[in-house]
Amino acid sequence: MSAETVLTALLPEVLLLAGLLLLIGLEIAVPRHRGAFAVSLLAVAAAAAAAAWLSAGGSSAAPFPGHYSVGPDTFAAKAVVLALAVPVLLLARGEFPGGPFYPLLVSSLLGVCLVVSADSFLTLFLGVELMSIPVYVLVVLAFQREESAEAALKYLVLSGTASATFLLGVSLLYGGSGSLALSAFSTALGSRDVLATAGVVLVLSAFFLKAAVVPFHTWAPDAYEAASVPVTAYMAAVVKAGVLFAVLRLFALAPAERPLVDLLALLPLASMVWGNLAAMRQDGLRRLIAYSSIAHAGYLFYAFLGDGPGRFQAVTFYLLAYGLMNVLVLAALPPAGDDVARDRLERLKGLFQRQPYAAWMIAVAMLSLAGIPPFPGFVAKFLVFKNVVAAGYPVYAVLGLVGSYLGLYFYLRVIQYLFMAPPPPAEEASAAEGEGAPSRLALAATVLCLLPAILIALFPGWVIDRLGG
Amino acid sequence: MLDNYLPVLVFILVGILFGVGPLVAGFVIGPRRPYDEKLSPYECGFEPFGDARAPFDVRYYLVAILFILFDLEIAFLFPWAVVLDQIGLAGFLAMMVFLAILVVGFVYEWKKGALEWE
Repeated sequence: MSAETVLTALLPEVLLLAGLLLLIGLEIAVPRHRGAFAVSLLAVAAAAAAAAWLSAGGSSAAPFPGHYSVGPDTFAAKAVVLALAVPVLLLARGEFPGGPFYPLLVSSLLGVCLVVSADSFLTLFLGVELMSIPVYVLVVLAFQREESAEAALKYLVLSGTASATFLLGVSLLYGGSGSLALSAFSTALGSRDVLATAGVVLVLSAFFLKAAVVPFHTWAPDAYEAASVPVTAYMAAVVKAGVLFAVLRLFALAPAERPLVDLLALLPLASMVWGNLAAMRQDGLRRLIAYSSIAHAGYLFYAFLGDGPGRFQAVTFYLLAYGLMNVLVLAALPPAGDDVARDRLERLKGLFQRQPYAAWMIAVAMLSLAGIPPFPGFVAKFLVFKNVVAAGYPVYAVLGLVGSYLGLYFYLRVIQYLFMAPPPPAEEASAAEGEGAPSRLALAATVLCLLPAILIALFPGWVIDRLGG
Repeated sequence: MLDNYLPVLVFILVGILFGVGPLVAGFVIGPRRPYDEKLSPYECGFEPFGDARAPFDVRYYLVAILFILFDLEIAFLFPWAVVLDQIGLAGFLAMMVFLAILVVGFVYEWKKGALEWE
């Protein structure tokens, strides 16, 4: 294989790595430089464009046979996660003028790209760690509240536990099959062997923990709340996508079989119900997003009940729709004096009178996350549940739909706050005082989320075809 | 399949026995005649001073991390050096790229003062 093919296959990663080295180089050479935002934005956007272009070109290659391979679908997945990172970067400009935020974000994205292309457990593990380790630092980086350090530590310890669980599972699978290829996992799915099943369950639990599925979800609300707004957006949209792509790589096209199906359906089901119920009681927006993301992790894992090709499309489409909407909420959230005040749900009362554009954006995102028809979230949920029914689990599909109905309450409550509730008179002064209009970059971020959302709402079929699978 | 893991089980059992056995033996067989002086905490023969929960110097942590980083680099370099004549120029260049990236990280930590002890 010539160097050129290898470089083409690795183009998104090479661009990210070049950006990363440039960022670190700038940090070394030029004290107090202001270029970090521009460099990282350029690198991520270029990598996203390269991935989209390679996906459209339909190229596939295996630069490191047995460890790393690319194809149109992996390029499409990379394009999705990298494109989701662009509005996140726009949000970050105001909060992080420079410093370690940008190199950390870019290296985490590099990890996501590695996960998406992984063919062996080693590459997968490397990718997952490269994706998560910078995020522990990102959570604590803004440090605007006392709880930031605590939340970051919780995330670090629990995520570390997940990595250890993953490694133990992999070692059992390796012991059974003698192979580190990811296909060992899909073979073990159908096996009756005790060791193989134990390995599969351990590996799955690890990813349940990383994706915050009940009962492994407790770190998520704390971490989402304590992180600064762009980092929350990054965790909700990109890191979750990375974890789900890892599971997609593991399952490949293998069907989920009987004893495992129940595990794969019951925990996500519990996740939907508990996430939606707990979200009702939240009074902070980011905690609400966190519980909503726990419920959405449930829907996403539901997609694995379905057959192979449909699974890839459903998950990728879902991640795109869900990620765009999550970033949209956080981008439209009006800035306020301090971080805690900005987060309070009460403050959204009567926002429509003060900032109609922001109110509309949050409303659109909420309706889409709830899965109300014309919005992209509906198509995404439809694809997931269609696959579950087609795979022959109508009971689980019905239970899942009931679980998702529970979520309507709190999504619509936000909308009621936005449009119908007058701002409480005592707080009116203080609410108006700290509140400013969203910055120009945040507005650009909302547009970057809204345009693709309109596209996938109007032409879901066209988008699904582009996503391959 | 599972019997391949028998040695591991034996190993775990022997490990537990080796660790717990002497303790239990001491507990059961050993004579016990306590008095004040025997029960007081001691520290290698002298009176204990300070709290056991003393803050640990974080600098050791940094040194440990850096050590692991460059220790691993050596682990990559040795096999590479052994087969260098077989993998040719491409292998040489690949390792140089790897080392260049590591050097950038090294200069970064240097500039950030991670190597300053005081």
